[in-house]
Amino acid sequence: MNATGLIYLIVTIAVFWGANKLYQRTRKAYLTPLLVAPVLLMAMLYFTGTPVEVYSGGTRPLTELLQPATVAFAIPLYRQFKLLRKHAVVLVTGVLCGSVVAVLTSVLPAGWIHASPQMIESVAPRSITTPIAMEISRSLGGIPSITAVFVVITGVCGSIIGPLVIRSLHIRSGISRGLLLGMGAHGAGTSKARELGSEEGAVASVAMILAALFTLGLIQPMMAPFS
Amino acid sequence: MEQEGVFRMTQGWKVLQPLTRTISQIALLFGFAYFGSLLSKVLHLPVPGSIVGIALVFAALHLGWVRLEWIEQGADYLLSKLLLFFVPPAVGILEYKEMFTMSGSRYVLIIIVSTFAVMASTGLVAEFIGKRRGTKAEKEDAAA
Repeated sequence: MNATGLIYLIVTIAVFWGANKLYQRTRKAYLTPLLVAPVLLMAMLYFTGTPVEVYSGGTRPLTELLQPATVAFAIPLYRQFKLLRKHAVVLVTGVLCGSVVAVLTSVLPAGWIHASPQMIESVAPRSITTPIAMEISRSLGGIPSITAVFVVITGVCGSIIGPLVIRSLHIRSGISRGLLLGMGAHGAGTSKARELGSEEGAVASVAMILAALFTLGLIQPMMAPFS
Repeated sequence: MEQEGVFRMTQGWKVLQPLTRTISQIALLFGFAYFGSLLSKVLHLPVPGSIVGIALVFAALHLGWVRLEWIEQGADYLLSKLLLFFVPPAVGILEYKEMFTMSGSRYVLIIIVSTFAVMASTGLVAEFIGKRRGTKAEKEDAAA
């Protein structure tokens, strides 16, 4: 790793920190640090003429931490195991339905706009949490980095759409609310669900992990007709 | 003098202790992640290594081989910083900017419609099952 790379590692952390402060002050879904920080950094790379490879090389330590962070999902799942068992029928049926709808309503329209197979494979796992979505994308033949962006867009849109769906469809139970937020907008939805209540938050985090596992199991056979 | 030095060292240790604990717990999670991807590769599992890692940690906790206190601090730390780890891959799309400038807005539209469909169907299915199970439980209560 060269000096420029190291500087970008520090700059990335600093920019993210600032973007996070901005979000905490404003609480606007479209000002999520996940959108603001990459845009600022991209502008920085553009104006300084730094190649993306230098940036990716320098920030590699952060990307490496995605692996233990993914494994860390086992801990909330273990903590919420009682909840999972108590509401197993609702959770499993809801996530199963959501996962199938997510893949189909992403892959079919992508085909209608004549997307390349690589783009279709990149958009297919967009509804699940980023680290696992990237791995699935890679194993399908997609581009993990593009998948990451689709996942981010999903999170931003989902945390705006989620409350609208809850209101317009009169979703009353906390379980259903948490479930649709965790299924539809992964981590971003989970943090929205925590704002609604602790039950919603817990259900959302379980739904998010289940969605990743189910999508992983279902995606190969579901994608077969498209490849 | 010497005692003061010792005192300072223990004070310093107290400050460092949570940090070293978090770091060693992250190292343990790294170990699980590495072992998970190794297993996935060696056994040619159709599952990515990180998922095998999740299963391994879950099993280790469930069987009592690993206690929650050994890893929860590191795990909570990583999960609280999760968004930061996604920033570099998001910046990485610069490599594919032609693909995005061509039809980026169409993908955003697809994602909005699809997310709405996912949330509406998931929420309605959950409400339906919840209500049915609710009335069933009420009926059983009434019968009893």
